[in-house]
Amino acid sequence: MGTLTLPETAPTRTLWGEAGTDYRPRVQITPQAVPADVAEQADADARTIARVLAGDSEAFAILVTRYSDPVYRHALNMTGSADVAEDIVQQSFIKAYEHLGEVRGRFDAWVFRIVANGCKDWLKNIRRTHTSYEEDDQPSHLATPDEDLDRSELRVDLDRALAQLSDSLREAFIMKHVEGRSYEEMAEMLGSTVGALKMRVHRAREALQAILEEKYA
Amino acid sequence: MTMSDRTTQPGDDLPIRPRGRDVPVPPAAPLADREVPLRSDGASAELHAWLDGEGAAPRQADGHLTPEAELWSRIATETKVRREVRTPPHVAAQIMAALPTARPAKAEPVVERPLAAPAPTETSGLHLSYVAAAVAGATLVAAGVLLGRLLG
Repeated sequence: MGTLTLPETAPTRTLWGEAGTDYRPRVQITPQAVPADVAEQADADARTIARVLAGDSEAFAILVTRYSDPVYRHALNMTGSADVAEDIVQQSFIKAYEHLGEVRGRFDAWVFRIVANGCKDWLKNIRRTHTSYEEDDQPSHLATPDEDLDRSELRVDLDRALAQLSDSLREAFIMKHVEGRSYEEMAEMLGSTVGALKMRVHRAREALQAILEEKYA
Repeated sequence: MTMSDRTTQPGDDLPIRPRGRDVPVPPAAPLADREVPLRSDGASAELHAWLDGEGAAPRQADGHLTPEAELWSRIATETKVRREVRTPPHVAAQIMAALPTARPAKAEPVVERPLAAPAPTETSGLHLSYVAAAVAGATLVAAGVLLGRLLG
């Protein structure tokens, strides 16, 4: 059973964390609650969902702990903003809770789709309301002074380059190269085909390379 | 557009605005999927195969990585760091605190939903079996034919 406790102090808001900052979730779960095998994990999710539907709302913390990291990473890389990513993840999990009885198949794929759609909606809205890309719009928390200067520069340039891709190309590149998913897993989560996703990732690489190679290659 | 072009865009020297929430703004017109040409040369195919984990890294004659492979090695270092980003711990607490008090509704599975039988009508006390209905129908047809012959 998961017990959720609030952190004693609010953490410093940085993307990459600070030395000594413990970002491990404060939710205590039993070791067997996170099985390695996907099928076992799906079964464990189904049991957790049954508990929540039976009235044990605190059990939902197990699902939040188990899946918040991958969906947060996705939202962070899609939007480029930790604040926006937090909002999207929070709203998505609340929506998932409200519709938990409608889960069919894998919970992680289902909640991922909610988050992915939230990111696309946000990008659509932000593009509709802004017409220019400004230097100042880069998130300030990306800068961490004690990091290697070269990597820091590439990090900012990569963010800018990713921002120039279409949503679908960016999503495919992030899932493949940032989240480290296989094409098969991506196809399952996005409801697409391996061939189509390979094409999207290849196009994303070509676009990123064209943007970055003048400076780095 | 190249990165060097980007650094000279008008507006880059604007005064820094106060930051309430850091909201990056993507370009107004991002590259559409089909606007990105796919190179079909052997070097490009070798590079993509390597990035897909299906081959060796492309190298120059002197054994060093090609400039493109070198770039992607650096990008991989960056993406690896991003893969280790964790959700700030207060997010989980905020989610749990914001959950509605109402228990989520159980959706009734379609396959287990009982078929709705039509409500019995109590309009008359007559109960007609299929056989009786067939006999009655045939009788009516025969009577119609007979009446037609008599009148004709």
